[in-house]
Amino acid sequence: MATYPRYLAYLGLTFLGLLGLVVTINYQVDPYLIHQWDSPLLQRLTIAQQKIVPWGKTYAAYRYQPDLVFIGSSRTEIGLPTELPQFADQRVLNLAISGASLKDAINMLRHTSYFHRPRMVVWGLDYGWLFGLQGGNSDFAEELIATSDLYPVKRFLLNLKRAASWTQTVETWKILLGTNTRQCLPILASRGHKSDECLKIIMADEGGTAFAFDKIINQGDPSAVPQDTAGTLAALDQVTQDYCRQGVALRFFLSPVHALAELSYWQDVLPAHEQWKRDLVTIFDQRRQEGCDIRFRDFTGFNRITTEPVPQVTGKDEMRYYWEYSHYSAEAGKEILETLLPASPPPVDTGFGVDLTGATIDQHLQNFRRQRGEYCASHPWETRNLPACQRSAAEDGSGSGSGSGSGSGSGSERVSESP
Amino acid sequence: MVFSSFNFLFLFLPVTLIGFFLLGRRDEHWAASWLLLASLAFYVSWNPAYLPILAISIVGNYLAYQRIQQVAEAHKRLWLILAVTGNLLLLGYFKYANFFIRSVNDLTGAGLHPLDVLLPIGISFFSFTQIAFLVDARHGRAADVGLWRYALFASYFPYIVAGPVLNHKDLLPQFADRRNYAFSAENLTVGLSLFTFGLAKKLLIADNLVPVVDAGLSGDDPQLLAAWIGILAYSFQLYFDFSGYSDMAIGVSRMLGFQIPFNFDSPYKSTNVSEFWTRWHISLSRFLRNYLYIPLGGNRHGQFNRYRNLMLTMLLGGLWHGSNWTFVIWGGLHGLYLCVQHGWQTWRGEGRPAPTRGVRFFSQVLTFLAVLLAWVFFRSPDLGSALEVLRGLVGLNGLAVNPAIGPSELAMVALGAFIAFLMPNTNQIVLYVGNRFPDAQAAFSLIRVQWRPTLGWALAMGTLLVIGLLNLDKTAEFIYAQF
Repeated sequence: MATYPRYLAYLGLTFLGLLGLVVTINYQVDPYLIHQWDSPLLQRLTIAQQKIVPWGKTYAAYRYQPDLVFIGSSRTEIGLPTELPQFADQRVLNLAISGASLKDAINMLRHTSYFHRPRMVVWGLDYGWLFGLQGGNSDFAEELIATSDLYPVKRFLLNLKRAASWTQTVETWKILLGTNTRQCLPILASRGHKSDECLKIIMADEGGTAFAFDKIINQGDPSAVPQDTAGTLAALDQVTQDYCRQGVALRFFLSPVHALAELSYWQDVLPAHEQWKRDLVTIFDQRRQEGCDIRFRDFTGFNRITTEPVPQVTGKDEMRYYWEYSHYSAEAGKEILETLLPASPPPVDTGFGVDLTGATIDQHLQNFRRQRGEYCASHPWETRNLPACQRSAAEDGSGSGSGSGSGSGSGSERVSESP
Repeated sequence: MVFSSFNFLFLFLPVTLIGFFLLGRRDEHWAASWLLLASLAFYVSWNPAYLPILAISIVGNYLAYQRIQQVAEAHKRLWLILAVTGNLLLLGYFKYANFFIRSVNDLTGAGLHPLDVLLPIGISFFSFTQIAFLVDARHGRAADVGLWRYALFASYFPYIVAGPVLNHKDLLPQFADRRNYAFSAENLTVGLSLFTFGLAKKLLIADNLVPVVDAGLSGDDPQLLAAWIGILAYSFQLYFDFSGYSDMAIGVSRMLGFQIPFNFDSPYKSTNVSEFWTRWHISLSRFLRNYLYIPLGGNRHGQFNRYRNLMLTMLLGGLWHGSNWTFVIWGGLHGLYLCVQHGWQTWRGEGRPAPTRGVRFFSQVLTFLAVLLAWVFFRSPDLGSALEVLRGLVGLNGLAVNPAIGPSELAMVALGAFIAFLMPNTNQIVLYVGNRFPDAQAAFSLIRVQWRPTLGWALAMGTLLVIGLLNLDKTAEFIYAQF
């Protein structure tokens, strides 16, 4: 029998030895790629639905120190590509994260700015519960945000702590044994943009684009309205002031969900939704008057992208601009970037989006309401279960029966709008 | 900061231990002060806003204790009543005011607005611990103690969040003994072993039962099999969660050199409900017996009063757990069980031969089923949910099993049952010799395992600690921390 001190020594050695071994291996293999940049590990195939992405993105921001950043929710993460020809000589990073609330987006911006002030920020905004200072992505812990020059040390310790986990150990073993799921390149391989390759796998797992649209056509998908909008607007006001003072160009946009989602999400809260847009315009106009390089463009509504015919109508499995009703593709994202990055709006109507200012907002909202009615009327089959359309028809007396009957396969009409 | 966190394990605990032993070599008063400071820091880590409440409670109770010591015999009772009332008002305001308002609203439709109060962590534990101290002080059964040592006793970090409910007789004499401030490899080793077992019970068993409980009970209208699997899983989750926490608390205290009585002793091996309460949450049972049941008259004034006292004690014991009628019903059920048991024993008379193995087995199954039934109310957020589960348990919602419950979920329940029913408990493995709570009987065990400071045990415990540590990132909240 050992004495108590000897027992403690044995136990301590066992504990430290085993823990050290596990943590070292997990840290080296880094199954979730939480601390990789410019690393060959970023070429290792992984599961399409990557886990704890905020860890990897915050690390990438610290290492890469991008000039042009995209922030927002999964719509921005999936929609805005980073590997366009015009970005060839720029350090571009998509720092949007799935489920990010506005608070998360602000935190991500502050985090990346701690190391290097970006030249421009492209910021995808969403109405609904994401426009809030609570909730958001549960993996995006406050501790991941840089607040001091000791961040590299803190981050190293956090990475070590994260490596001391059973789930990482299991994933590490799978990688070492070659039994892990290898579907597509990790998100950081495409500088934070979730690649089409991964999205195709995810969509196949989820049942496909048509399946997703079945839901909204048959049931609708009303979304939660934002809480404490005033507080969130105040936070947005503050952050735009901060960055404008630093000379950072800001490009805000409203993510173009599909027209059917637009009708379904906000069917009961259209006046509040409109007021929200007006409030945003007030903030951004104020910044512009202060000399800030800022633009705000609304890509939502009923335009040539958002009214793309759904698979149920076209008979095709996929859509050009949408993965499903809430998430647009990089094809739409390219157009967003092309129209949004310049200092001024395009001189001609692109049929996709309107720059919102105090001068354009009223007309835009009027057009929005009119086009909503027109869309409902021209797409009676797709919108038959959406109360917003039924109400819209009752309001304007147009009636859903006057449409073109796209349920019979005629497709949707392009509804353009003027800025 | 919970015990099962990196901050506690790699920062708070090592710093506290090292500081305590270094100061203890120099002067035990410094070490005690260090421990008090650590306890307050631990408490503040939950929410700094709670600290004034704890401080008021400690200082107020200490002043009352001094008055009780100083005043003439005729006035001691008055001061005790004042102090106990103060504690109950504090507890009542933070824990029961909204319950009262809700109940009034439900009964009368008065539409009273609930108070905007946050329940201070551990208020039930530090209030009861101090009430017991004052009651004993009134009867001259409490040792003399200064404010700082009293504050350490009342805020002692191993117990303050979720117990065990401390008794001053267990701890204050140990705080007064300077030998306990010296480093002891034995205490550290035994404490670490207990802590490791507790961590493993919490993280490897209790937390892995959470999805089974959710799959079985959380949906609307749970069906027969799902409801039974769910409530079985919950009974084991609760046991391993709370007894795991208690083991950690006792282990941490033992590392420091202070022994807290154990709180669980294989309760599901009990053959009657009375025995169950000598094995489940032992420190609370002891408190309720000594400071409620016996003062109410206990069994001294006839059968009717005995049953009344049992019911009152268990109803209030249920209410202690939380401000919800479900807890009252849970306590009431246990009170009823105890009355039935005592009535049965009275009717059968004394002097009967010892029960056969078959009878004991039947008694154990019956006791477990009774306890299981009461857990339905204990877990449910409201009476409607509890009744839905009860409907499910008798098959009124259908017979199917939730598809989320697969072989691995069933295996977890089976593992919990195997350990709870057939394996030795941590007291038997680590603490069986030299424990300070000798009332409990040795529980049945299929095998005999005795921890020893050997190489084999060191390897096993080191490995178990690492496995526990690797599961820290997905730990769920301790159930009893909410009480």
